[in-house]
Amino acid sequence: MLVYRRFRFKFLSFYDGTKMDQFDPSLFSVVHRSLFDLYKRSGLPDQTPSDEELRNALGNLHKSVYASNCQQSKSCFERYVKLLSVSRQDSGLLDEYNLQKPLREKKRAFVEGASDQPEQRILVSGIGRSGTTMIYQQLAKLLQIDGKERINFRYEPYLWSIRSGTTKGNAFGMEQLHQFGLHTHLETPLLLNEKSVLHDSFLDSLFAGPSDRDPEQGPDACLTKVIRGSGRLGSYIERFPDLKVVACLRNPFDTINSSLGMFSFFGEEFHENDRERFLVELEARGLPTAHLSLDSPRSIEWSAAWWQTFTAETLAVARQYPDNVFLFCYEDFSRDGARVMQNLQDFVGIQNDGIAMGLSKPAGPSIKATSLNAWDVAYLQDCHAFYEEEVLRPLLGEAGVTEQRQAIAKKYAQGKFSFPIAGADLGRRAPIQLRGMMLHDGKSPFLTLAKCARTPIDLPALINKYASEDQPTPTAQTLETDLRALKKGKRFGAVITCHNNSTTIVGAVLSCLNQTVPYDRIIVVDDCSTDDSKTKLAVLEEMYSALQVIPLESSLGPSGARHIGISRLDTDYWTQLDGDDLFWPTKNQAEIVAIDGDNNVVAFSDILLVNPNNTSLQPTQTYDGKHPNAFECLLSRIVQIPRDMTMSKELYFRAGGYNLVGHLYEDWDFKLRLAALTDSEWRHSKSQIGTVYNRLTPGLSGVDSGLHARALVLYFFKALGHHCPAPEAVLDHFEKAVAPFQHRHIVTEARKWLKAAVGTNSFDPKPFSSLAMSRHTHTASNATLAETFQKQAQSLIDGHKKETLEVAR
Amino acid sequence: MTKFSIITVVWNDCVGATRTMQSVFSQTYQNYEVIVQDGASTDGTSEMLRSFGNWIDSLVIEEDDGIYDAMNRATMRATGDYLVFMNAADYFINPKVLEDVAAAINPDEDDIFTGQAFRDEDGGLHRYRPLEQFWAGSTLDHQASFIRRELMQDLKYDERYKIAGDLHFFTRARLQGARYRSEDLPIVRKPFSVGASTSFVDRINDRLSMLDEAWGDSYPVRDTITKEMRHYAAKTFDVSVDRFADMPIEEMLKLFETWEKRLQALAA
Repeated sequence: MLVYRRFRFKFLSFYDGTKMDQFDPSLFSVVHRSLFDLYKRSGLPDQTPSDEELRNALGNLHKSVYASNCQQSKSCFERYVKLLSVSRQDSGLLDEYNLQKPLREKKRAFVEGASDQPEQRILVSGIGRSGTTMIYQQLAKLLQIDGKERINFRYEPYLWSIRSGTTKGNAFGMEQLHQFGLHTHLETPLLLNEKSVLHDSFLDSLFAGPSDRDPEQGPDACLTKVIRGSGRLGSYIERFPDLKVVACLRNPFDTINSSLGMFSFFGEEFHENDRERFLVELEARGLPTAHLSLDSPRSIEWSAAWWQTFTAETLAVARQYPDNVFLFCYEDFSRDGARVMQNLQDFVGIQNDGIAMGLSKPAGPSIKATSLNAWDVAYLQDCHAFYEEEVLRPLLGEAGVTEQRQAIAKKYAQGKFSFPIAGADLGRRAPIQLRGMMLHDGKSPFLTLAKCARTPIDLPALINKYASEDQPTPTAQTLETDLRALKKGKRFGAVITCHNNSTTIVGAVLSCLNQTVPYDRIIVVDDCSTDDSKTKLAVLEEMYSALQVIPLESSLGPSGARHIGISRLDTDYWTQLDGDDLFWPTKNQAEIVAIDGDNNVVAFSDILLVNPNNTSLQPTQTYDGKHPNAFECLLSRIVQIPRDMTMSKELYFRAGGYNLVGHLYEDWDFKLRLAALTDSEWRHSKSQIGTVYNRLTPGLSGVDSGLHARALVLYFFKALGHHCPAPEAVLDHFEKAVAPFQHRHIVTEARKWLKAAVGTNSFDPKPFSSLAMSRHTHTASNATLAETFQKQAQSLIDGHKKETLEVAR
Repeated sequence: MTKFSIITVVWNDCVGATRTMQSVFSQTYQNYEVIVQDGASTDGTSEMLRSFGNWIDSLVIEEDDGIYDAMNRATMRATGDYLVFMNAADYFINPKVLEDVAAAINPDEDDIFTGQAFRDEDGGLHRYRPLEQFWAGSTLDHQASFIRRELMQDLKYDERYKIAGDLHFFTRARLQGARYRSEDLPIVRKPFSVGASTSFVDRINDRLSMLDEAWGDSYPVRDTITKEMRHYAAKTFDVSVDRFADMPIEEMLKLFETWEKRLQALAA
């Protein structure tokens, strides 16, 4: 059986105490498969096994089962022999295996006659975390209070064989797995509206079986809760036209957020093919599937598609069978529980005040964490709009819809984000997730991220301290305005470079996802990291479809890595982030507004510098303006140079892109070329902060100051070739640009040359830029360069002297 | 002063070509030219190469008929004393490689000068056969070899080959009496897994027939390669080498062929 296939049985016991040495998975699998096949074929006239075949098969299996210690296999064997004896009307089978009298007569009478039919058949259905357990428990109570003695309870029978109204204790132990239900689930479509031999026989076991309490009689009522069956409601009602279905509905944000830490809608903790068959069924219905990538199986798109499909299916069934279906809206219940409960009682036809009791207590684990970030929230807006239209507006009215929307926006903007993981009671209340971990050989994707360091910077504290009142904060506006309009139909992307940034990369990625206007694409270029950045990025890539990781096999350095990322972006605009820095939550939104769809605009914001002992805001407003303002500011390196700007890809390539062979100040070189474009305009965004610049650890300050001086001089000279300021200002710019290294020999010689050139009547910047751009200069030593500068200066001075002499003559 | 022609051929490998160019332009020895042949890349490689401007002495972007055709086209534009092929993703192991080679090479005597190649996958030194056993192949790599320009331009690569073109060239060069020299000088890091997509059996067959034809009469080519194949087969199939004790190489290759087909079927 699939569910057991990948488990590692070397463990001594499961979390629930089941001794693993008493469980033989291979035997169980064979027994279950073979018997299920016999049972299934017995129901099909043209495939019914002969008595001889049946007895041979049973005989062989019996020998193996009783030679082992596997209780699971034994009970499975007995259960199927009973089922077979009923379906084949062959009581001899029971005698052969010394089993108790079957329920055969009761069952037959049951199907054929009406006398023993249960008075009530109630099905509670809904996507997980939509209130199904609460309703199930309340209805269970109601039925018992009503005096029903024989009630058949079934709880999510596509997985569990739980037969009680409540789910106390560890009802989710391995021994509780409902083999028949699970198998039926796997072999029938997720969305089913018609009769099906296999599914109907399963439904009979839920709603037409004998009483659990007294097998000689029929039950008074049957109450079943299904999660995985919520797409098959049509087939339930087809089979039992008197069935009352309580269909639970809840908004996509809360439903999905709540489920994330508990289980996957796709149930891959138990079986691995839900995603594939879900895709097939969506395609068969003509629904779009292109956005569902198996490379990002844990992304919000999958959860959203599941939510939307099953909610739509439930609503469709409710419209088709209005008398059978009661729509329980979680939000309506939260606002006016008493009224909804009254309506529910009217629907099931039982009245008792006791229904109101116990509602204040959570029925299952309550999830307080926020595992949806701004990217997820933005993605779910369409689903929510559908939910508002179909469910909320008719029930709550326009005011209720707005109120609900605000509450959700506030909740997800202010909630403390945590990666989805169950709490300390792991293994009791959230065993499914635990199984997921076991399937991953202990390398649980949940644990990889949940426990890891995200960033040493306390961003929430900084937001509290620095967010100004007029600045948009990552709060309520997410659902209030259509942020897509801001983008003017353009797409925005971010390139994050990572080189051994294991302790900060998760924070960096999250800061891009947690934007008030999330990036459409985030590329992380892993520049040959040797720490565990790779593992973390792989898990993040599974969770967020917007994220793409490009691993480089050999290191290209920051500018090479950025260039590769920018080239691969499929967006119109881009920005960049170092793997140890963070983006302020409003950065993208503010810079999108500043750009205003203009391909020639470079948008930038202020920088929050985080040093080991202090944090300071570095304003960059000075750079705002049309050409050549930014260029001249850059040339002097005055005040803080903007970083991580947003601009079009077209502008990037027009400026010549990053210098791929530089190691120091190569970003300055690029910005100078960018600012030299005469039609470019640098715009300061209204956002106070763009990048939170992490200076907690020293960067390149350990590099020899001679190399710093050389890089500054050469890039300065090179820039003069792109755009040259007034000759009288050149020296001033130079002094400012190289100020920290003004006494280095190479700077002194460069200054002399520059001075000599500026002193001539016609200052020509070309020799400076040509020398700086030469391939040979790139690897020449500082001494050689200083010597070259000296010669150039001398030749200018000599020439000048000659000219003066000639003029004098 | 010896002038080197560094030849890079590339097709759709922006990351690899960037790495190669970075290592070339960081060389402290300055008497070299860079010749790049880009087979009309569509992934941004061509734009990246153009961004280097005149740092690349000769950049041609055009469709070609395979790697050896591209290398031949680039070769014909070279003007240096010695050529070295640094294809995309190969890179000089340090900035002093050309300086060291210029100091070690003797233009009066060396037609082909070769040094050490390291695996990019794990950084380990790739072991080659000593040059004296040239008749058994695998004695050098073109990324770590500096070839006299005239020799290369005269012989060229035979474009019929997909993988073994370099061995074919080195074999013809030796038959012509080219003088080889090897030094323990670190030259290059290169990804060894690239190029392994061609069938292993085809490659061995190519090499065997080429070497057997050239040197079979004077050297134990077939026996040596057969012996090596036995060990390789034992390692691949995880069985004792004795199993292949009397197996002729043709049979062994058949075994590999079946195995490869099975692997392909499995992958499909």
